[in-house]
Amino acid sequence: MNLRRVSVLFLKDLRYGSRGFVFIFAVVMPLALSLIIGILFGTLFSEKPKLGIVDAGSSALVVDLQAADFMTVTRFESSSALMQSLETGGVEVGLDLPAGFDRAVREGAQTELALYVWGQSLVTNRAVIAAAVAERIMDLTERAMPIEVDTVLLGDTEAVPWQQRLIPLIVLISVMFGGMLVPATSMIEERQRRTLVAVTTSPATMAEVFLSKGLMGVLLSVVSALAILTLNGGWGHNPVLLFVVLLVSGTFAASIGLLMGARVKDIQTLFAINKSMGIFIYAPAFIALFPETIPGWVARLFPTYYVLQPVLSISQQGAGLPDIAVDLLILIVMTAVLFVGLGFSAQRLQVQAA
Amino acid sequence: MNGRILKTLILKDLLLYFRNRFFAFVTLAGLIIYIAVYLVLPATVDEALTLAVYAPTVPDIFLDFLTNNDIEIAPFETDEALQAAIVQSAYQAGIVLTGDAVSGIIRGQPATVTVYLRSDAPTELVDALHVLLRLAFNELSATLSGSPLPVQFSEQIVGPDMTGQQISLRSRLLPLMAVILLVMEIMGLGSLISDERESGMLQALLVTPVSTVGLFAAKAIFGIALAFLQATTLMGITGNLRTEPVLILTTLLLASLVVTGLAFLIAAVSRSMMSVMAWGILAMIILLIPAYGVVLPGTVTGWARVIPSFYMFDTIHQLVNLGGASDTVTLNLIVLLVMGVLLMAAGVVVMKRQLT
Repeated sequence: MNLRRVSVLFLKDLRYGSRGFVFIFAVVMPLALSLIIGILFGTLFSEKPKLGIVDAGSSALVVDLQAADFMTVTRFESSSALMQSLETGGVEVGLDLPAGFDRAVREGAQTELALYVWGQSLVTNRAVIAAAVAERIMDLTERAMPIEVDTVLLGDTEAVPWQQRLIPLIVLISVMFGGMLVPATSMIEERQRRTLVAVTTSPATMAEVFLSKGLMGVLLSVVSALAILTLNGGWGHNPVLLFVVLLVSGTFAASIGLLMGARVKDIQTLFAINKSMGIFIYAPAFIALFPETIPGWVARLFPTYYVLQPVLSISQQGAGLPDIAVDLLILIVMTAVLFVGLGFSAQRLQVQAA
Repeated sequence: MNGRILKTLILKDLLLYFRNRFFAFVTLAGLIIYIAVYLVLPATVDEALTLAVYAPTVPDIFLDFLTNNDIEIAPFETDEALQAAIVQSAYQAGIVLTGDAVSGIIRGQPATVTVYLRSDAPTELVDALHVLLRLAFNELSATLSGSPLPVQFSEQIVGPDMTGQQISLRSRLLPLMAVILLVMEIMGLGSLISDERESGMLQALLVTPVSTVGLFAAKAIFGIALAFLQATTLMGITGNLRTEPVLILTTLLLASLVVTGLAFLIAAVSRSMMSVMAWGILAMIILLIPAYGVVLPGTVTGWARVIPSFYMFDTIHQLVNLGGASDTVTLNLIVLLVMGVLLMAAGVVVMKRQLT
């Protein structure tokens, strides 16, 4: 094993491979996914009732309503803009406050307000918005509300927002996707173009080719995972341990990718295998989506659990080495087994090339 | 154009298409998965707010009042049974109306109503229910004590009122699934054509009695048929061809024409499957933008109308979910036809120039 040759091969892959579709896709996809999930579950998929208001007279009601955390309140400049938004479901209920509304309410006049309701809005959302508006009007009138509601929470489970539930999936994709696919496609393309034979007729050995391509996968996996963790809550209190775990995880992913690259005939078959394996690779993250429904031990049956769990434990729960030692050990053993398989594959390809 | 040659070319394309394991897998698995997802998702929307109530001495007027406020009531015999039902997520919330609380509400005097929620209920839901129930009980108290609250709402519905027949998530996703199936064909067919051109097969075919017109006609027929068949299978198995089947099938046919034209264009600028994938994913991202307007109402503005797929999503959504008929979708179908013919013509011209 000559490290200088490995570095030459690695730099060659980095220079030419990084222009390829799979490389760019592997870098961009987890980041785009993280961003999309943030937008979708942060705002768009939120099930909060949506109220639109046109306020002709600077009503204090608007400020009060905007402070409510259980609904989304949007101000419109004109009635026509409000109606346009209502027609497409941009807001579910529209309120057109006339000038002098606050004064009329404070003077005790019986107030009738028109609520414009989007026909496809849920009855509960309509009711919640109407109640919130009515309650704020009561506050304006300073009328006493003698009946109080005491909310009691039962059970000991905590609410886990969807955005948080999806973090394991994004982290797992960032570690596995590029780490597996980039070395695999690179190997297959080199085999198909016969450049692999050309390289191995030089002093470079197949093991060195495997190592250079594997390093590419590890690099992509680690960088991608660190970027995703930065966007989703940080690296935790133990960045050195996290880095070590990501190195092992990236090595695991790259080893699977290299094995596929060495065995699979063409890109089409690789993509088909990757698609069909997806459910097993990402199963621990899907199980994490439904913690109340699927028991946690089921996730332990999948090898990628031992990639995901240590990373999440360190970055999200501040775990140290003793907490993740068993999972990390299992991951190292699995990676070692893959290394044995890689050794056989490299030998086989070396013989074929000769 | 010889019918026998055309048939042979189409069969050849079919064979080559399914020889690509990735697209063969994606085509079949995609169809099965979308059908399964549709069938697994709930068919109806549960929009009612059902509250569990333990109220040993509650007057009927209370229950009538709550029911009139869009709340359904499920009575419980004991406080313990009520709490157990909430912990098991059988109801969103439970109300305890003790004798003191009922008495306070009737007399308009300070009183407290206890509301149970599961500890993992989102904060927004807890706050929303708090506001809703606080207002409801104060409104009831004010009405019973003869001084109703000085505000009245009059509801004016914008668009068709879907109360009781809300569009379920699976119905909102259906146009998206149908169009994704169609759009995936851009990559499959594009890859097929690109591979044939790069391997020299297209040029080889042109030195046989096969004409350029025949070659492209066979590819167009194959592409349209494959896309149309998949989308029709999805709509048929999910039971969405029962109303306005002719209009829905026409929409799918025209949408297939559009995606086949796009596949020709992408094949013309691509050199390999990876290149087709890169362009195809870009096309897919753009074509799926109008879907947000259906799945997440209000998120897409008028500019989405410049994207051809808007007319696919909107037409299917109108016909399947909103009870639309020919008068509501005719314009969409004309736009789809024009776009389809233009894209197809552009694709054929570009491909032909490359081959000659």
